[in-house]
Amino acid sequence: MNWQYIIVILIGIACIASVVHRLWRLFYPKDDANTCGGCKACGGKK
Amino acid sequence: MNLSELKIGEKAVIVHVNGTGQFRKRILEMGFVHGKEVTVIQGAPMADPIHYRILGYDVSLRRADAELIEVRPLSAIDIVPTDTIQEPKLDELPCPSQESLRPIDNKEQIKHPSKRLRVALVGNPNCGKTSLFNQASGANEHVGNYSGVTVERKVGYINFGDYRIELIDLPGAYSLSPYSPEEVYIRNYLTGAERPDIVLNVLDTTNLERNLYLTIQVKELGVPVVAALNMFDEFSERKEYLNYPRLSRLLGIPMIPTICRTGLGLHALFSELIEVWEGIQNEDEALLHPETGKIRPLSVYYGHSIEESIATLVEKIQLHLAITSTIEARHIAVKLMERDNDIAHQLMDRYSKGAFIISARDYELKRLAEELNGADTEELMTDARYGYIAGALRETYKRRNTREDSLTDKIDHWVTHRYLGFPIFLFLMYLMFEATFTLGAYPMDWIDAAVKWLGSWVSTQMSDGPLKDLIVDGIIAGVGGVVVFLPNILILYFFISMFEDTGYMARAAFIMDKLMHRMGLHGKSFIPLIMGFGCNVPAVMATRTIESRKSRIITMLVLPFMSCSARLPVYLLLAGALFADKAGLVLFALYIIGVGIAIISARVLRATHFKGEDIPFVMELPPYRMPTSRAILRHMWTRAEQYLHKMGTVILLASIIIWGLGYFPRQEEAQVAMEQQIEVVQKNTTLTAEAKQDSIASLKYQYNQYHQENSWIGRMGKSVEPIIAPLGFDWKMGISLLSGLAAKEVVVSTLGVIYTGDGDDSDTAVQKLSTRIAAEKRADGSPSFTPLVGFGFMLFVLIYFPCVATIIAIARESGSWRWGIFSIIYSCSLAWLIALLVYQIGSRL
Repeated sequence: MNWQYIIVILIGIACIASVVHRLWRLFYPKDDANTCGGCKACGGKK
Repeated sequence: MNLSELKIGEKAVIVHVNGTGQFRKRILEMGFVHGKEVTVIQGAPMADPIHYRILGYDVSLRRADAELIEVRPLSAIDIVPTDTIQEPKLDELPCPSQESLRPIDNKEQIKHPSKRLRVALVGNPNCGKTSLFNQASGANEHVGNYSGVTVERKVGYINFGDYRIELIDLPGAYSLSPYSPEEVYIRNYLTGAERPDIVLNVLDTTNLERNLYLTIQVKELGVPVVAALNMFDEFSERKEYLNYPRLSRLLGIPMIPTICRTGLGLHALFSELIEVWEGIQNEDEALLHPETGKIRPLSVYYGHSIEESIATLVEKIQLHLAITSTIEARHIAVKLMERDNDIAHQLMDRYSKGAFIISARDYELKRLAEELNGADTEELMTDARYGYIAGALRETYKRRNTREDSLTDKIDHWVTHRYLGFPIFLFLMYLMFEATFTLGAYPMDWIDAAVKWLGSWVSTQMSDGPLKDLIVDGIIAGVGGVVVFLPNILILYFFISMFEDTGYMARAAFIMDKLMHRMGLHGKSFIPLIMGFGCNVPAVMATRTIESRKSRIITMLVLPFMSCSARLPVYLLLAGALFADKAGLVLFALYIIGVGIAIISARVLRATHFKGEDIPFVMELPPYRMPTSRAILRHMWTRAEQYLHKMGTVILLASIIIWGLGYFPRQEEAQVAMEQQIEVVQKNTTLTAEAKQDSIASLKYQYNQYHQENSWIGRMGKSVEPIIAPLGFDWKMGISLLSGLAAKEVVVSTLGVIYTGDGDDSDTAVQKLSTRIAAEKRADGSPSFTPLVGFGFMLFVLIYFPCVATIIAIARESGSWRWGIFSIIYSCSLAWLIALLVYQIGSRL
């Protein structure tokens, strides 16, 4: 297999991993910033 | 008579504020208390709302709300000479020295200080807290600007002396009453477990009387306070005088003059903060209460009858709720007497005897109503606080009515003019979009040429293969096609910053309130809507300043129709390709259509699901200020950074994926057939060189069409084509719209990958894309992108699915995914319907 194909496949795998990671973060966001001060503007969800 | 009956220019004295609930409380806290003088400045277009001046600041009220305020015209009052009141001697008043106004010199500070101090910035909106925050921390340490423009706290750090100071920039608030979410947030923050060591209260010195209302409330909490007398330069220019050391002694709050815009005075301010903190640590008797050992709170005297009720409640609170601290017990009692429902609910939730305390409060309120002949306790308590402030200022402050003919008044006369207000607003909006298009075209060409050069260079450096195709046709064509629009976006942000920083944004909200109100929105909704032109996500966050939950959710749901800067590249590309001469006008029309759809949608939502709950429009109109180049550049740089970051993440990812879907599966047989045909053409001796080139180009084009239609993306596009065919869109447009779900710029990068990925590099990326879009033909030979289809496509991009980030913001801010899903379904259906109507009606004309 052409070396360029191998790199393209690796980039493809990295892209898929990135999409999965982004979707994961979409539904399970990080709150390590500890921004919630309890103002209830979020409807008490945080 | 009532306030709405006064004529423009007329002055009156407040007698009583009618009405109930939160509106009344807010009006009282904004200074509409018994005995204060109010002037009518101007009416908005459509004669509503009205611009008033009270306590030396400007505020707008709707006519219906002004009807609730009883006044007595000044002309009807016999003014008693006030020569018995001792005026401050002007020549004895202090003036801050140059030394006391010096900024912080970062070179003087040590790098790893050992001590820690947490300082919260508290103050009225627009008093300069964020300027102070940026000046103090921006040049030194990383500023954690967590999502939200005005609502969530921001944290920054500064090394000063032996201390590493954590600065917490809290949202602006007029009082600590639970009127809007951010006021509840501030109060909970100042009294909660994470409470700061010291509160740094930033005061707008030009508007001292109202600003001190919040100061008094913070001081009543018993937390240590240091005040920054900000905008001292503007104050001095007005030739007003303040004996601030004396005011400081009277209120028990150290006060330091500052000019936060330039950082002057911050050295003295932080020195004072540390001095106060060390005083507390060393149990300085001057600062601490001798019995409790805690900071001496400020005790406003609310009058004999109310004080009696407070004392009764304090006793009961200490006895039944086991709250030993008199300060805390008095604070709770005062809040209960003010009918603070938030505190009442907290007591009911936390303590078994909470209900008993509430019933005791109700009894006291009833008793007071009888004793005071029906006078309202809340009003009396607000009066008492303002009386306390007025007393302190009478001894220390000399006001001059220099604002009568100020520049602000002159500008306001025109920009909020009854007939010229709207045309000026529309002209400024048009100017913004025209400049975005025309001025942005020059730097855009430079970046475009650089992208072209990069593509050509990579092509010559790499051998043929899929990686080269990925880099040239996927990444450079996709990302490069979007990055060229960076200058246009910066120009748009420049204008938005100018509107925000000069104070024009508040005027836009003022003149639009009547229209917004009729359409079911609040005047304050207009500011997030304008912010939505930049980015919908912070605009959704900014809806938190709207007090009514219903208005807030309506604003969030219609916000995606405000065309954000991510959609701008799509318009610039298509308007430039299809409406060359009138591109600026088309751009302006799209934004106006977006606003129109937002307003109509708001009206529909208000009439159906969100009936009732109308919140009054009380909005401060700040004086015009010259924006600093630093603030504007900072704003533009932040946006540029975000845009470039998006290029390196979402757009890059999408471009690679779109390229991959369009590149595979490889059509080996068709490629071999094409190459054989090209060989036949080249060997044909009867053809001229020109004819050969044409034939070869035609064969390549046919192969590309065949390949794209049979690629994965082509198959996906073909499957969605029946849905979008009635709109005049072909499968390529369908694919670009699908890819735009991640971020709207991806629509352009997808068009770039689909239309230009054929190795032809005779033009720069955007020129080539524009040419291809204009020349693209359907199978029957008719053009794909007619101006009508192009306009419908731009409308579809304007209206359909807001990006993923906006949907998440809507879901989080509304507290329910329901509204996020509703936004997706509503916007996509509406986009389809409008694009259908445009195409079907337009093609029959």
